[in-house]
Amino acid sequence: MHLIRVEGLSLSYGRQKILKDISFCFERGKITGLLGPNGAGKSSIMKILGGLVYPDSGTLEKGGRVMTDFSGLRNSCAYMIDSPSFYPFLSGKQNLELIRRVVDGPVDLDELMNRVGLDPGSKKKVKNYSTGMKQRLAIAQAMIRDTELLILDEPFNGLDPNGFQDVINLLRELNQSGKTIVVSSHLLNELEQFADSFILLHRGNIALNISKPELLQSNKKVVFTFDRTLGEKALQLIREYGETDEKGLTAVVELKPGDIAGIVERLVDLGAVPVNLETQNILQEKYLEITS
Amino acid sequence: MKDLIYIELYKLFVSTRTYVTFGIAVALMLIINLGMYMEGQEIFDFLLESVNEYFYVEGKVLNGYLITYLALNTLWVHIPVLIVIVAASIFASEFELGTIRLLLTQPIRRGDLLGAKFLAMVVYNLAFMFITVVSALVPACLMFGTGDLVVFLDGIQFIQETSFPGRLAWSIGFATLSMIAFSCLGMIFSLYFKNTLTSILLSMGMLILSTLLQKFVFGVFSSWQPFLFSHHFSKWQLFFMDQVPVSSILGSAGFMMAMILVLGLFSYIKFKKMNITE
Amino acid sequence: MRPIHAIIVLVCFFQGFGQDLSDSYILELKEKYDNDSEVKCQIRIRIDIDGLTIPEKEVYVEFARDQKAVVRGKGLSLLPKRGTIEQFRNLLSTPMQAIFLSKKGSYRVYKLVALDPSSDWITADIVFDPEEKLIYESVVNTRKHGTFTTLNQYDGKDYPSRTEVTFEVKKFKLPLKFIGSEQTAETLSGMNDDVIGRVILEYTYL
Repeated sequence: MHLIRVEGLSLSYGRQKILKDISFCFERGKITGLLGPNGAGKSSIMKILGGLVYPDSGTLEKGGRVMTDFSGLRNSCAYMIDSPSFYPFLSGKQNLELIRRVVDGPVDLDELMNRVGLDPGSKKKVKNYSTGMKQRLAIAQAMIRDTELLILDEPFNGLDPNGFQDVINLLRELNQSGKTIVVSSHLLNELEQFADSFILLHRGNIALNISKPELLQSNKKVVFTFDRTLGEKALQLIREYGETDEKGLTAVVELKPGDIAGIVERLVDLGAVPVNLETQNILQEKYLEITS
Repeated sequence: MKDLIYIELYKLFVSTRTYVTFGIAVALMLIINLGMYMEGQEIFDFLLESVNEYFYVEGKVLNGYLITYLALNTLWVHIPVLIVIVAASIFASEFELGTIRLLLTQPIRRGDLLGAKFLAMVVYNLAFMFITVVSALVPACLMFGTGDLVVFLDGIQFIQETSFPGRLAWSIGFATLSMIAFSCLGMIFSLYFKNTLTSILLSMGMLILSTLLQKFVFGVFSSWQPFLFSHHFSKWQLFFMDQVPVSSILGSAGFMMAMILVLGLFSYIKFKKMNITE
Repeated sequence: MRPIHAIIVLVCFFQGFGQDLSDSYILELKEKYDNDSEVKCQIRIRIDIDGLTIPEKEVYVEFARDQKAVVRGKGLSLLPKRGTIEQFRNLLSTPMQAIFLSKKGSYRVYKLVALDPSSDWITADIVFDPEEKLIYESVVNTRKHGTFTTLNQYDGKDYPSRTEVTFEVKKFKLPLKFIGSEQTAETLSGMNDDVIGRVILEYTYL
């Protein structure tokens, strides 16, 4: 069941069409990944939902209510817009205090800052923060209010591996507590791990809108490497699903994930034992397929 | 709304820029005091030369009230320039820093945010004018004492010492209203250009142009006078006339109020409809 | 040749027509006013000159011979340089020739001609009561500052209770750019006009 549904969303800047009459929804209690190359319109969607940009057309439906003013969504949604900005002459905590004051949030800022890996006692001004610290602060700011929807634009930018894992864990935790989360990112492998559904934007259109189960059901590219040339029967088997190179030492096939084990067994029976097996990330594969 | 006002005031009064402008204003006033201390008597002897031909001038011409009055004449250019630096940055800096997104993604109305910033701007104007007047009046009175005021308005006018505080208060009130109107110019330029420097330059350019055009009082130029900001703004001096022309001053105050309302309305419309893409 | 010059020539060549200093009326006046006595008084000063605005002021003044008047008052005050009671001593202590002009009722009208080239006045027409020895009117032509007319009223004392001084003066100049005053076409047009200055002095003697 969806939390919000957007219909017929269009946006242009001058003559340039950014979003072309797209429709999508965010499932309640799920994590949705928003993907697309630069300029596809991901940030534009987030800015529209955040009330920063007015679309040319489109409606938002939430809780049975249909509205054309997207800024109303801010009451039940917290945002982290990309390249987060804070007041450089204030410390991280002072910035959060200002926001808390505006939204009247009851949250304990010390605990919040600890949760995102920042020191609440630090007097360091934001202008001296690293990119990763600013990202953490931005996530903290999005968590000041206890909202049912959380929209995060490129939350992983500038994070070191530890920071990245911390944020993933935090988002999982928030999702488990019932929050609906929308995340945009270029880190397809990681996104595939923890998101429940994916919306791929390309040139202002939705090129792919797929849930994780459906994604996992779709064919995967598998690369087999052999230490000797394949026999005729093994070659025939391979050709049913894909192709080999000239020497017959490498085979690239498309298989459903559940079928891989079966094919390996049949190859072994035919005397063709793969010495290496590589699978490409499905999401990345689809991404490249659509956007190239 | 009151939380927004608090935030805006907080940002205003933790900003170094605010105190720099206060410091410059205080420095200006102290320089004037020093200049008057060193050469003031000579200057006034020269100015009152024509009077001295016919009269013995008894009493303290050069006194704290007169010096405060002279210091206020920096209102012509210096003070508006200082004020618009901060006034423009109240709005433009949010776009430059990108923090406008931080605020507008919270569940607040754009009108409320604009209103809070406007109020912060008004408070800044009040604080600035207060500091300027105090830094002119207090040292001047301490160094030179008080006395009757000689002003050169429509001839030479001698204003009683006892009436000076009241006249000063009204004059500063009017000047503050004018500065708020001028700050609104900075505000609207900030919203259109989203850049502090551009807004300041445009506002100063308008002030300079207005002041220049005000000097052309003959022929076709005279019909422009009622539409010039500096024509109305300069009426703060009229509080120091023997017979204060109340209706003229009220007319100019009305002009300032109208300017605030019109610029405020256009700013609201612009801000409400603006796409924040920064 | 101006009339005044003609009179001087006549006086010089026809001394029989001239009244010299030994005119008893003038001598009596001189005796009364040309003395060392100090006069202390309160003066209420009202100035009415186009281009000069000053509220009515009351000042304490001490007039003493050959000394600048000592003035004490609240705030700023303007005491006219001519037309105060000092003028009597100033006129009558200067070496001069007194020429009887006419009678005006019971008053006598004299023209005084300064013989000292360094005096600030050239001629003065005075109207006085020879019995009371009180000068009621005077028209003084100065070397540098034009003509001053004074009208005096008395209240039983030797010095006036009320004096009205009128004189011609150029409208007081404005330092146009010094303090950035507002200039309009109307104020600019009247800048170099001559205007009549009028000062009223009301004396209370101490």
